[in-house]
Amino acid sequence: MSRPLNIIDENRVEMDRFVHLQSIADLNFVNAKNFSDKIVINYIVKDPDLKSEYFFEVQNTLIANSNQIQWQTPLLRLISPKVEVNLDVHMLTYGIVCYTFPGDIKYNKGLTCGYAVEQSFKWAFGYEFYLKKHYWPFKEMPHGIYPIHWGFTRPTIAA
Amino acid sequence: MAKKVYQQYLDQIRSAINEPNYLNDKIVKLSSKVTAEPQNFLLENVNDLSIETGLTSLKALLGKSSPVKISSGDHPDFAYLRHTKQVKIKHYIVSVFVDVKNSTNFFRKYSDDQIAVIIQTIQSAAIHTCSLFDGHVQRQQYDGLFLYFGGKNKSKSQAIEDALKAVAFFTYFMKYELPEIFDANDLDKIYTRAGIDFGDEDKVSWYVFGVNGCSELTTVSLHTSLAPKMQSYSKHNGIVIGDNLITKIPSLQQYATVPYDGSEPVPLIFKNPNYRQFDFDWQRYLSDSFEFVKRLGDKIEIDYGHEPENMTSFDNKIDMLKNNQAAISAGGILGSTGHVISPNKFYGWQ
Repeated sequence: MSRPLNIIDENRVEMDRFVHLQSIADLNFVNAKNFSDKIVINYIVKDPDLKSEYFFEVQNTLIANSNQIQWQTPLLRLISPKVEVNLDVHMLTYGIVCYTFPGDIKYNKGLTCGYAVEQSFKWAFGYEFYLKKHYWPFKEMPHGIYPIHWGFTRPTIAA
Repeated sequence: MAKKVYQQYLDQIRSAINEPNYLNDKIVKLSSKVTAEPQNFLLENVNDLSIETGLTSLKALLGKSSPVKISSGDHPDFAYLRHTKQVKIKHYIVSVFVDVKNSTNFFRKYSDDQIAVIIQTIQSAAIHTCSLFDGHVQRQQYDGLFLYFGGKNKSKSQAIEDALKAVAFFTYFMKYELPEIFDANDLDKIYTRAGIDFGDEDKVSWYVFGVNGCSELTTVSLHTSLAPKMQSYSKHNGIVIGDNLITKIPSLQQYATVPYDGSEPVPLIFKNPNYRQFDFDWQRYLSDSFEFVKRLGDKIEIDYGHEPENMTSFDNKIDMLKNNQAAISAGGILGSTGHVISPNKFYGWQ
């Protein structure tokens, strides 16, 4: 059962909300919906140098309880087109891109919604590069220690 | 005469063979140049070849226009280990061992000076080719070369591809271009053999070995040790690769077959734990990778008429993303100005 928020918790949520919204303030193409406990951002990556358009959603749960702050990482999800689970292109289940996946990335204050939007561009370009050349063009980094819960083993590398 | 990728190298070797005093003549010419600085007479100073002069046509075919530097000695990405309190660094690397075989036969026909120029030229071809693909020369021993591919700013897949392409082009030189000279001179064919393996960061440790004044920054890894061992199972002008390359880039499987020692298959290069090795079909790999490499039956040929693809706007954007120089405009277009894309510094749990 969740405990009622006290003033300190509420302040934390509002401060975090401000930081997240500020991080996308200069991006006119995103559509941000502001809920009491989360921010949901929808947008399309449609660069003239990309062959396809990519519909993304960034969902950031605002965590009041500091013990659970790890889960306040913006989840980056590709809504369309559907891309199968493929660790070579860093795609997890349900269209989740591993770049900001909270099971693998230790929470830090740099993981803002703006950061997730940035990474979606990097992913889209990396994905189209992979379709042409069959390898991921960007540096690979080690994943974290948390298991991936959605039905398969934790990959050993991330983009 | 047909055009050759390594024409300059072939010309230099041909001169060494046909002119017994080639090296002496070069030194005399060099010493006659009036210079204020004292002149060294090392083989490298006598050598006319550089990456820019020697590999002009290959660079053009690859569409590489920027100058290429040779990296040797301490690997630049890990050299800081000499100046820290750390004893070791864990980081992935691709280890490559390339050896030239049958060069001992040269002693039957040629003087030491002639052999020195021949070996120096073949070594130059190998070093220049590997440098063109960002290889790092770790060690040389006469006609053998040990190289690393990869580093802090290169993805593992890219490092593997670079190593395969570099060694494949050098093997092309040894298989298709160099024999013409030695066949004409009635010598046993010389050939090359190479071993390539990949060690992930948890399997590769970098240390500085040696004593004060005589030390080397190098790796301790099963996969570094296996590269020279694999080389010994390679066919003439062949490349043997470790299983880790295929694990990292599954599409390489199509070029891999089990190597043989005589009529015996040797699928394992190491036992307990078992580790597999594969013969690598570098000719098919080159022709699949580059449009200017054409297949003619079981042979390959370079198409010099091929126009290199211009760097597209897409490629430019990939480069910008790689170099952390990309930004998103307010309207959502990737470019160099606007909302700057942060470097990937938030991964892992370190």
